Parts: sequence; C-alpha cells; structure tokens
Amino acid sequence: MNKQRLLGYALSLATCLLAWKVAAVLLSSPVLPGPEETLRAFAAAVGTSEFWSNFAASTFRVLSSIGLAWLLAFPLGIMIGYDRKTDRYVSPLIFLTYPIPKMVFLPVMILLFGLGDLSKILLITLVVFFQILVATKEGVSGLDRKYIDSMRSMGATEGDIIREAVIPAALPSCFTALRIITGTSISVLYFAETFAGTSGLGYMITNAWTWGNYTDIYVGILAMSILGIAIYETFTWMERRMCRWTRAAEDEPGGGWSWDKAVNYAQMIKLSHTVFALPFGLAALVILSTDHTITVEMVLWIIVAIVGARSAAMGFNRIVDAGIDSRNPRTSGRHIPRGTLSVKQAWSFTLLSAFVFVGAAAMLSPLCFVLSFPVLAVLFGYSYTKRFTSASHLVLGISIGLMPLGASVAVAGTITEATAVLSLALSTYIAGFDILYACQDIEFDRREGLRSIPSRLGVPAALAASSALHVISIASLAALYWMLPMGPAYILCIFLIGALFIVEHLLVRPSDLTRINVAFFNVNSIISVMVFVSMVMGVYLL
Amino acid sequence: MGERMLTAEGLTKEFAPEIRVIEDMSFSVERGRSLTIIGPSGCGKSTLLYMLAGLSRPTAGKVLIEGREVKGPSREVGMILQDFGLLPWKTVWGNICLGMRIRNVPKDEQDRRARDIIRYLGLEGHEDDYPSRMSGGERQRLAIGRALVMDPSVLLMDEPFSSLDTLTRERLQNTLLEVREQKGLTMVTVTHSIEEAVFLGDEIMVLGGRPCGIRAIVPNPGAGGMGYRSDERFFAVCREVRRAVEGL
Ligand SMILES: Nc1ncnc2c1ncn2[C@@H]1O[C@H](COP(=O)(O)OP(=O)(O)OP(=O)(O)O)[C@@H](O)[C@H]1O
Ligand SMILES: [Mg+2]
Repeated sequence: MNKQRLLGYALSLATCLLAWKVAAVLLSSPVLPGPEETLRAFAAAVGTSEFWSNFAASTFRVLSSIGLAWLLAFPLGIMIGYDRKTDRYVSPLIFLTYPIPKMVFLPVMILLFGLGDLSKILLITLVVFFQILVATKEGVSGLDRKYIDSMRSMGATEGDIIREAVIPAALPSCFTALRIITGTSISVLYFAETFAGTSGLGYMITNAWTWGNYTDIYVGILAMSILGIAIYETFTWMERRMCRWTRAAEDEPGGGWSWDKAVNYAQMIKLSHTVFALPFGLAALVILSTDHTITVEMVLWIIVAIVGARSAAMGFNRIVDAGIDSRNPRTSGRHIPRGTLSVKQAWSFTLLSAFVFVGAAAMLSPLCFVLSFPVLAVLFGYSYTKRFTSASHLVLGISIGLMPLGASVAVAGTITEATAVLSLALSTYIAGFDILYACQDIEFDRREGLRSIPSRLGVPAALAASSALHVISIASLAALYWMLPMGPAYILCIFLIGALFIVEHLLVRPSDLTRINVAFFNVNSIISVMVFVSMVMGVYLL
Repeated sequence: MGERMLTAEGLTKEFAPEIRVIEDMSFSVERGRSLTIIGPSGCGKSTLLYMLAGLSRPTAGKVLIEGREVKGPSREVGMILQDFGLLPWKTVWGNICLGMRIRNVPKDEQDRRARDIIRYLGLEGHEDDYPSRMSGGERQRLAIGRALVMDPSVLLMDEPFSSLDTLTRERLQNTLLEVREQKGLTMVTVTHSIEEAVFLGDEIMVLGGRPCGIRAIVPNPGAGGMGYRSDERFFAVCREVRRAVEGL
C-alpha cells in the first residue's frame, strides 16, 4: 500500500471516528455507543472462539462465492468478448437476465439447497457472476485489433493469442469488478445470514439486535467492514502484482512511502519544536493535578491533541507561506519550496492533523470538542497576520499559549487562574523569541512588505521588546509561587530559568545575529523542560 | 541476385462484393532489394501489406515468396504494423521474446538472441520497461527488434517512422539500411513521406485510384548509401515521385 492510500485510509478513518464520536455525544443513547466503547467491546470479542467461528464462517462464504463466480464468469467473459459467434448467441441471454434482482431468489435457493452454506454461496455467486462477466467482456472487447494482427503475423495460434493478449487485456477491468463486488458480496452475505442460519457475522449482528445488545451490533459491523477491507486490499495487491503495466504509465518516482518522506514530514512541522512546546502543556497538567484528578486517558488525549494542533498549524503555515518561504534564502530549503513535499501532500497532512486534534478534543469532553474549532481558527489565522500587523509575534504567542488553557478546560472544565498565568508566561516567552527570529529576516520582510517588530522598529528596539516580554514571562512564572502551594525548590528553578533567559539574550547582539539558531535550539529546549521540571519540583517537592 | 524473393500476381481484394479496394496488382521484389510504397491515405496500402504478410487472403491473385504461394503467416516474413502492435502488458524483454515463444524456440537460445538484438538496437537497460514508458524512438527500435529477432528474410513495414521527429527518424532510417545490408533483408516499406520512400527504396511504387492500382514504379538506382540524402540524384528522384503522386 503506498503512502497516498495509507494517508487516505487514515484520513477517512479519522473522519469516521470523529463523526461517530460526535454523533454518539450528541445522541447520547445506548443505540449508538462511542467508538472507544465499541473498540473495547471489539477487543474483548476478538478473544472469544465464538467470534472467530462466526468470522470464519462469513469469510469462507464470501471467498468461495467470489472464487466460484470468477471461475465461471472470467472464462465465459473471455469467450464472448473474443469470439463474435459465442457473443451473438450468449450475450442476449445475459443481458436479458442481467437486470433481474438476484436477491429475490433467496427463498428459492433455501428451498433447493437448504439452510447451510451452499444456498448462501450460490446466492452471492449469482449476484456477482454477472458483474465479473460483463466487466471481463468489456475488457476483451476493448482489445485493439493490432495486437492480435501483430501476433498472428508471428504465427500465433488462437491459444497463444488468448494467453498472451486476451487474458492480460481483460485483467484490469476484471480486477476493478472484483473490487466493486467485494462490497456487494458482503451486503448479500449479510442479507443471507440474517435470513437463514445460525452462524456468521450477519447472524451475530441480528442476534445482538434481538437481545438489544447494541455494542455487539457495532462489533459485528466492524468485523464485516474489516473483512471487506481485507478482501478489497487483497484484490488491489493482486492487481498491482499481475498488472504492473497499468502503473508503468502513471508511476512517478518518489510516489511511495519511505523513511525519507517521513523525515520530511517531521521536519516540515518541526517535530522537535512540538516536543519543546509539549512541556508547557504537561506543566499545566502538573498544576491542575493539585486539585483535580487526572486519568492516564486524559493525559494521552491531551498529548494527542497538542501534537495534532501543533502539526496542523505548522503544516498550514508552510502551505500559506510556501511562496514567501521560497523567496527567502533562509527558508527556501523548507520542504514545500524545495519540492520534496507537494502542496497536496502538505494539505492532506494538515487536514489529517486537524482531524486528529478535533477527534482528541472530542474524546476529552463535548466542551473541548466545541472549542477545538475556534482554536483551529486562531491557529490557522496566525499564518496570515504577518501580512497586515507587526503584532503577529503576539498572535503566535497566544496561539501556543492556548495549550495550557486547553488542558485546563479538558481537566477542570474551565480555565483556572493558575493555568491562565502559565498561559501568559508561555505566550510572552514564545512572542519574545519569535521577535528574535524575525531579526534575521528584516531585509527580506521589508522587501516583501511583511510586518514584524524588527522590520518596523529596527533590531535594537526589537531586542528590547523581546527582553520586556521575557521579563513578563519570568514574572508570571514567579507569580505562580504565591498562587499555588509550592515548595522552595520552585524559586530555585525560577532563578535558573531567569538565568537561561539572560544567557539567551546575551547570545544575541544587534551586531551579531548569527548565533540565533544555536542559541535558540539549545537554550529554548532547556527552558521549556525547566518549566516542566520546576512545576514538578514545586508541586511535589514541598 | 536477380532472384525473385517476393512476387504479387494479379492481387485483388474486396471486403464485400461491391467494395473492391485493390485491383489487379502485379509486382515483384528481388532478394536483398527494397521496395517502398507510397500513396494517399485510405487507398489500400495496409490492406496490400496484410495480404503480403499472409494475414488476409486475396479475393483473387496470389502472393509468392521464393516461388511458394503464401497461405498464411510464415517464418520467412517479419511484419511491423502501423503503430507497431507492441503488447502493453509485456516488458521490452517480453515483447522481444514473444515471437520466439510462439515458435517454440528453446529458452537459452531465446535469451541469447534477445540479448543480442537488444544490444544491437541500443535498448540495454530498458529490458524491464513497459512500452508505455518508452519514447517513440525506443518503441520503434523495439518493434524493429521484435521483427528482426525472428531472423526473417522479408521485412514488411507499415509507416514505421510516421510518429517520429526528423532527427530520430533519419537515425532509424540509417539503422534500417545497416540491418538490411548486414542480413541481406528484402524489404517492403509503406510510407507517407516522399523523402523516406526515396531514401529507403531501390524502387518506389506509387499507388492510387479507386479501386487502388499501381500508378507508377520509379527506379532509384542511387539508393542504399547513408550520404544519399544530400546527393543530387536523390532530389531528382524525389521530384519525379512527387510528380507521380501529384498526377493522381
Ligand atoms: N476489414 C475491412 N472491411 C471493410 N473495409 C476495409 C477493411 N479494412 C480496410 N478497409 C477499407 O479499405 C480501404 C483501404 O484501407 P487501408 O487501411 O489499406 O488504407 P491505407 O492506405 O493503409 O491508409 P493509411 O495511409 O491511412 O494507413 C479504406 O477505405 C478502408 O476503409
Ligand atoms: Mg495504413
């Protein structure tokens, strides 16, 4: 499976889970349990032999039906597609019976072949036979005469022609048909299993329905979906193996999933920066833990939400700024300008991340779910601010500063005073170093008409503004000492963080901006980890 | 020399009783010589070539190869169809070996001959490519290779170079001359281009009319050398063929 498909699956899975969760929250009825509940029930069911015997029964029925239908339809399709005479006699018969709904034959099948596997297999076979037949015939009819003529000029017999030209020509459309009938055959299977018999996933679902066991219904649906996807993907895989030539024309180099691509994605969103921002979110959790209970599940979803939001924001920013980035020598090596990631891939990535964020929020609480949309609006909106206001640094600070607030809403259902102060510390911290970053881009920003504090006020004033913001930041962190029951270790940590800020600002001089990258990477990572450590020390080392 | 390799005697083709496409054509090509056929689109050139290859039976008349009547496709005759008919689901290697597999050539000999021809036509490194991935010139060389690997003594070609740019086209025409020289091939080439007809043919047969017949056979004694394209005689024959074509 290539990356595009994997991403597609992940995206649609995320959409489904999200829609499911939202619907479950809105409906809040036992008829629709949430995805996590269902997954738990599914995991439990997978451990029972009853589930597997039903799963095996259904799999056997579907696979034998498709196999039988193919064995009958493929050769016949080849024959009527290739041989005009057979076509003349057989086709009218086929097209006469094609529109008859075959499902209605279930009672007849049961009367003739009993309640066991045979009647079900034959019914599915009957339904899908025609689709394989018609697709195969179409594939062969599309075969260009010149292939046959060129083979005959080499002395080919009819057998040679069928083997080397007719069958290969029929394969792609036959595989398309097989993938389409996967869905059809499972639907018919469900119908047949609910109607008659005492085994199979369809029976399992109906049984759960009768007993009002709603979660089990969804376990059955999930199992049937997995069966369908597995068969579908098997056909896709077989087609890729057997019909390599159909891809030869469209394959572009670098289309597949690779480690390099993964690294590209990770770099695009500066995964390392996400890791450095995360400690602030965790610091908020430490603060909240003083008067709220926090479960492992909460922590997990909060981390997922933070990573999702952060990735979505960075991905979106890279897309919006792709044009600007490619003209700026400092950023022209970024992945979209350089072409290592297409804009489409970046979009899929951003969308997927946003889904993950919203989904994680939904898992936390309905309020978080609702608030996740305005949060996304702020995160995405930031990308445009530097086009019209030099306060864009502050907007970035606020965007990231939302993180502790989100954690607070998730855990406490509201914004606590302490997390608000932590948020202020984080916002001013981020805004301050974003100004330092922008000092590198003065020339470029002025040329492009982009707004920033350095390009508006000059480097010395910008450094002063940055210092001021960082003073507010350290002051806010210090204020927490009086707001929370903190031990003296906390004060020690705050002094350390203050010292790190001073080091950071000493590294950067108006005359020498070259150290910004090193300064940033090292000092910032230490600061953010220190914030988390100081909370832990302050709260737990009384 | 002088021996008749390929002979058409009173060839006539009707697709239906009232649709006669080709009427009473007689001509012959000597061993190792090259005949080019030129004529307006739809006049019946492909139809004629199909009969020469034994792919379709003439309504009247007959085709002889080395004096024996052609009743169906034969080992002696290789054919390159208009648009080649390369199988898209086979790689370069698969297409080259197709004819040998049909004729049950032993596997190791298949490999040896396929390798030789691939090297000869400069298709090394493309063995596992599919035709859809190749350039027009590469596809053309593959089509030539697929016919030559069967070691035919007569090669029939239907507008082999029509889809190529001038440079590639002339390079491949040169290749063809070389092959013919080396293997002593007898060639019949259908073409739309007067220059190509004059460069490749020892004789140029101009077709026309409805039903189609032979309008003129222009001798071309100077042909056969690579430098012929800039020879004064080349232009003279071109003019003569043009007059014959325009006179239709
Ligand atoms: N199987 C067939 N049945 C009926 N008519 C046919 C058949 N094959 C060819 N024709 C007709 O015979 C005529 C000659 O066709 P042919 O393909 O030989 O022309 P051509 O000279 O090769 O043309 P072009 O230069 O465009 O390739 C055309 O009018 C065509 O419509
Ligand atoms: Mg033609």
